[in-house]
Amino acid sequence: MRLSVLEEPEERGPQFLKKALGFVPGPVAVMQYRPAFFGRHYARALEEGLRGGKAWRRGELELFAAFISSRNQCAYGTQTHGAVAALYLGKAIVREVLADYLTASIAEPLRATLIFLEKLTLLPAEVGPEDVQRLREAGVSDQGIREALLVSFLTAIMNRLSAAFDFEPPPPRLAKPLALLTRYFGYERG
Amino acid sequence: MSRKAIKYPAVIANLINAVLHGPGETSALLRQAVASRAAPKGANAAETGPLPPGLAPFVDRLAHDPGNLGSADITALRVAGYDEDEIFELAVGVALGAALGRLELGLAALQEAGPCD
Repeated sequence: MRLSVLEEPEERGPQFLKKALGFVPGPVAVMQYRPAFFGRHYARALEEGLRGGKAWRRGELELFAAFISSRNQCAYGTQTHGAVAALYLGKAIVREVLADYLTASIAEPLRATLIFLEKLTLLPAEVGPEDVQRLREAGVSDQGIREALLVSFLTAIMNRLSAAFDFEPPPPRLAKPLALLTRYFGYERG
Repeated sequence: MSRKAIKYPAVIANLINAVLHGPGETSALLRQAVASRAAPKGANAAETGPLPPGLAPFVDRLAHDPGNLGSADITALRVAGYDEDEIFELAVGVALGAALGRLELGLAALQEAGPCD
């Protein structure tokens, strides 16, 4: 990472991970560094946004995060959220969506939401009420739109911090164990 | 069309308050300025003055083209005199501004679409 304060963490959580795994996930380092400034609040929002959905299941919310990350060219977010989504939805669906969501074998409300999220990520100034109408026509509830917007907000932040500080994606041997840790313990325990 | 003020969920309001209004190594005004510049066109970003010299290229790249941000952008901030804590805060401010603008545009679209039938 590009900041030594993140590379050599003084906090207990990241130090434990560094000893146990030889690797500190970038978001963990960022969220535990001066947590009152950013990390504590972001972790709470992340827990609510990716694990507290009512309209979408956890796997779908993780898939949104992986998809947005891919559009932001964030390898870290694409891989890690994709790995968590795969635990819920299966690897094949995640792979299909990331390769071509327009032809992936997914339900139409999910596809319509991915189209919306791509536009919001890459062409935000062009988003308007007609996009909301398309989502509604595809069967997405307003609650579902709000939940997708929260995932977009959270992912847009961490993708940029990954770009700024150069998060290294987890080594392949750790991808699934880290996804399992996230699935069982969530985002607030860091 | 005039928009109603957007009321954010508590978890987001707390995050905004800490990053843009809380104590830090940089001034809250500077964090608000980078967040405002990072917001996409069309978002209701507050008017702020010009940024200090050397900061705008980093803000613009991280906000609008994060995939192409590199080590040189961080080095340029160090050369301009920012230390690691300040760089951390500025990056968080930019990331929050870019994300908040998108959230606001999405919520505004939802509001402008009117109630669901």
